[in-house]
Amino acid sequence: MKQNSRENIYSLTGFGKVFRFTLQQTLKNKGFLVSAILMILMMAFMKPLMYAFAGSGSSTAASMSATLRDIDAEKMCIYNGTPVEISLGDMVTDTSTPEDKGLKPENLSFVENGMISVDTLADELGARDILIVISTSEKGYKVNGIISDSSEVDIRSLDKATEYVQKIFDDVRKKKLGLDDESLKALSGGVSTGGVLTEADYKLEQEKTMGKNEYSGVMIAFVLIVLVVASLSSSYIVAAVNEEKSSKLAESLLVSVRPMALLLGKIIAMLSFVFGTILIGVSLSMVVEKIMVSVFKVDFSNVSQGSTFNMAIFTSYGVVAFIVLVVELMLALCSFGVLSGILGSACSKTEDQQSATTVVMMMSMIGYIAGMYGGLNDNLITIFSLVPPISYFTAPVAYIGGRIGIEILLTSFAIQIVLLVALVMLAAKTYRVLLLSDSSRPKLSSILAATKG
Amino acid sequence: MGLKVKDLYKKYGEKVVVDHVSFELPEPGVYALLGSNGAGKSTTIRMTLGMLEKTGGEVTWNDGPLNFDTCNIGYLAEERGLYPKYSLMDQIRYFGELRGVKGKELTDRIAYWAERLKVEEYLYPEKAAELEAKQREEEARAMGIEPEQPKSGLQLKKKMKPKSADQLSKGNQQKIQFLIALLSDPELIVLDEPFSGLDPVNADILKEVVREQIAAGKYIIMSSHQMEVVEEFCTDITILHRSKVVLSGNLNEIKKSFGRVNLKLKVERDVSAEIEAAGVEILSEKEHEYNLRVTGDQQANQLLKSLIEKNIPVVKFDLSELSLHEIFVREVGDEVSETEQ
Repeated sequence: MKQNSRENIYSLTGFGKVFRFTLQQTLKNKGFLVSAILMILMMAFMKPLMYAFAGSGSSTAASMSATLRDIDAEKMCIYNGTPVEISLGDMVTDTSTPEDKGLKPENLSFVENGMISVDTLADELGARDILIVISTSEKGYKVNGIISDSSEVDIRSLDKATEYVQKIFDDVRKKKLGLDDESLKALSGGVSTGGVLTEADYKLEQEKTMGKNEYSGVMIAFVLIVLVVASLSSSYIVAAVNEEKSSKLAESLLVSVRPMALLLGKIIAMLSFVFGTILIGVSLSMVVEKIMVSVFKVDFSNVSQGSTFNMAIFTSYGVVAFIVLVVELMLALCSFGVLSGILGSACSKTEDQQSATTVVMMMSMIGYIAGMYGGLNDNLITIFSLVPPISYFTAPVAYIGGRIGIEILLTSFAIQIVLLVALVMLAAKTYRVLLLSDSSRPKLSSILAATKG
Repeated sequence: MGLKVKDLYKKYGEKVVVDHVSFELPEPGVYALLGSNGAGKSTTIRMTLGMLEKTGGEVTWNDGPLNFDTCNIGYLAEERGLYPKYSLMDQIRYFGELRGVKGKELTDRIAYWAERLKVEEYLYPEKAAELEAKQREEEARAMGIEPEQPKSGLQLKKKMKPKSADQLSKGNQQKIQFLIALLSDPELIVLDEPFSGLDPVNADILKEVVREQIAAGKYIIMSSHQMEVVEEFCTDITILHRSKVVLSGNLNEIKKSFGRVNLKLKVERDVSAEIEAAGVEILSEKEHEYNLRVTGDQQANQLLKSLIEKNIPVVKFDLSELSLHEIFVREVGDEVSETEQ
C-alpha cells in the first residue's frame, strides 16, 4: 500500500484539465489581462520610445564626435578588410587640425584588403602607433583598435581613433550603398567597435563573434528579459498555486487529482500565459519596427541593444542563437516556476505570498547582478556559465558571443536540466504535505520536513 | 469487501497524531468518526483517502488499495471553500471533469443537483432573471397595473452575469460544495461536519439527500460534533481521543453496554429525600421533574417501588440508555476539560 502511494505522487493524470481550467480563468481575470496588455505595449513600443530619447542624444553625440586632434599618436594605419570601397581621402575629413595637437592627416595610412596581413601590420607597430582594422562580422562590420604590447598610446586616444574611423566608415558605406530595402537592412545592422586591444589580445579576440560593446548590449538585454519575465511569472505562479490553499480547496481537489498534476498544471498554465504575452509582444514589436523602418525610414542602429527590453536579440543572430536563447529562457522560467510553486504551496494566506515571491526575486537578482558584471568578464564567464542561477543569465549570450564553446553551453544546459528535475521531484514530494499544512511563511525547514511526508 | 482501515498510524517527528486506528465498513451505511478537537479525525480521514502518506497501517477498498482510481470518492471536507472569484458553473464543471464526468452527463447532473439543493438561481442566473420578470408581470397584472418595462440591456446583462462564490451566503456556498461532492455519484462519501452552519431549512434539505444516499446503498463516513445528527444517521461509531480509539462499534450495542442509567421522573411533590435514600444521583431538578442517574434497572425499580409504597403519585417514569452525547462526554469529556484548563 505504501509503495502504491509513493508511485502515485509522480502521476500526471488530470494535468490537462488543471492546465485548461487555470489558463481559462487567468484569461478571464481582468487583473492578469491588464498587466499582460501593459507588458505587450511596453515590449512593442519600447524601442521606438528609446529611439525618440536616443534621437536627441545622438545629435549631441554627433556634434561631439571624435576628430584627429583627439588622437594622441604618431601614426595611424587603417586596414580595410571589407568589400566596401573606401580610400585614404575618405578618411581625412578634417584638414584644419592644428599642428601642435593630435594626429597629423599626413601620418594617416591606408591598406586595402589582401595587400598585407593584419598580423604583419601589427608586428610593425611602433610605441606611438595605432592600427585600426575594419572587418566584416556576422552581423555587420567591426572596427578594432590595436596597439603594440609596449605601446605608449593612451587608452582614450585609442578609443577616439576607433570611434573616428567607425563614424567615417559608416558615413562612407552609407553613401556607397543605394537606399533600397536590402541596403537599409545592411545599414540597420550597424557598425560596432571591437574594443581596445593589445596585439596578444587581438588573436584571442578572433574567437569572438561579437565586439565588446555589442556583446555587453546583448548580455544586458538578455539578463533584463530573464529578470523581468522570471519575476513576473514567479508572482503569477505563487498566486495561482496558493489559490487552492487560501480558498480552502486543497482537500477537495486532492481526492480528484494527483498533487503533481495539480502543481504542474497550474505552473505550466501560468508560464504559457507569460510566454503567450511575450510572443505577442515580440511579434508586435517586430511589426512596429518594420513599420517604423519602412514607412518612417527610422534607423534604429542608434538604439543600444542593452538599453531596452530588446526582444530583437532573439532574432538577430540566426537560428542557432534563437534556439539557444529560447531553450535557456524556458529552462530559467521552468526552474523559477517550479521553485515558485513549492514556495507558493508553503504559504497559507494571500499576505504570505510576498515572502515567497521575494525569495524567487532575490535568486533572480543574484543571477541578474552576476550576469551583468561577471558575464562581461572573460575570466569569470566559464564559471558563471556553469553555476545556476547565474548560468540562466550568462551562458547563452556567452555562447552566441563566442566567449564559451558548445561543450560548456551543453554542460550548462545539462546542469540546469538536472536541477529542474530535482526541483520537480522535490515539488512532488512536498506539495501535498505543504498544501495541507498551516505554515504561515515558506521556510526551508518546513519544506525539508515535508519531503519526509 | 467495503472499506477496511487497519492500524492506521501517523507520526510527525516524535509526535504521534494517529495511533493505530482501525475501523471497518463491510457494507453500505453511515459510519461516524468522532473525537474532540485535535483528536486526529481529519488526519485519519486524509490518510484514509490517500491525501497524506501513512507512517503505518493499511487502507483497503474491496480488498484492493483505496484511491480515486479504484473508488469513486465524494468528499465534503471540514476545511472547505470555493474559488471566490470564478464563476460557480465554471468551477462545478471543473470538479466534475476532474472526477471523470463530462459532456451532457455532467450538464444533466448539475441541473439535477441544482434543482435538488435549490441553488438553481445561482447557477442559471438567466433562468432566474426570466422567472423574476415573469413573476413581476403576473403580479402587476393581478394588481391591475401596467407591467413594468423589461430592463435595459446593461441591467439585464448584469443580472444575468454568472454568479461567483463570493456573491453567495455561507449556507448556499455549503450547498454548492455538497453538490460538488455528490456530482460524480460516488460510492464512498466522506462528510466532515456536513450540517454545521446551516439554517434548519437548508439542513433539512441536506439531511434528505443524505437519507437518499443511504437508501441508494452508499458507504458514508460522517464526522460531526452534532451528536444528535450522528445518532440520527449512524449505525456504527469510532471515538478518537488524543490520537487513539477510545470506543468503537455498533452504536446500539455500545449504548446497551452502558445500561439504562438515565431516569426521568416527574411527581407532584418534593421526593428528594426518597431519591437520596435509594442512593440515586440527582442530575437536575425543576418543579418536581427530576433527571436522575441510576446504576441500572434494579436501582430504578427500587426507587419506583418506594414511591408507590409511600403513595406518591408518579406522573412520568422514563428509564433510558445514555445518549451519544453523554457517552462521548463520559469517554473524553474529563480529559478534554483538564486539557483545556
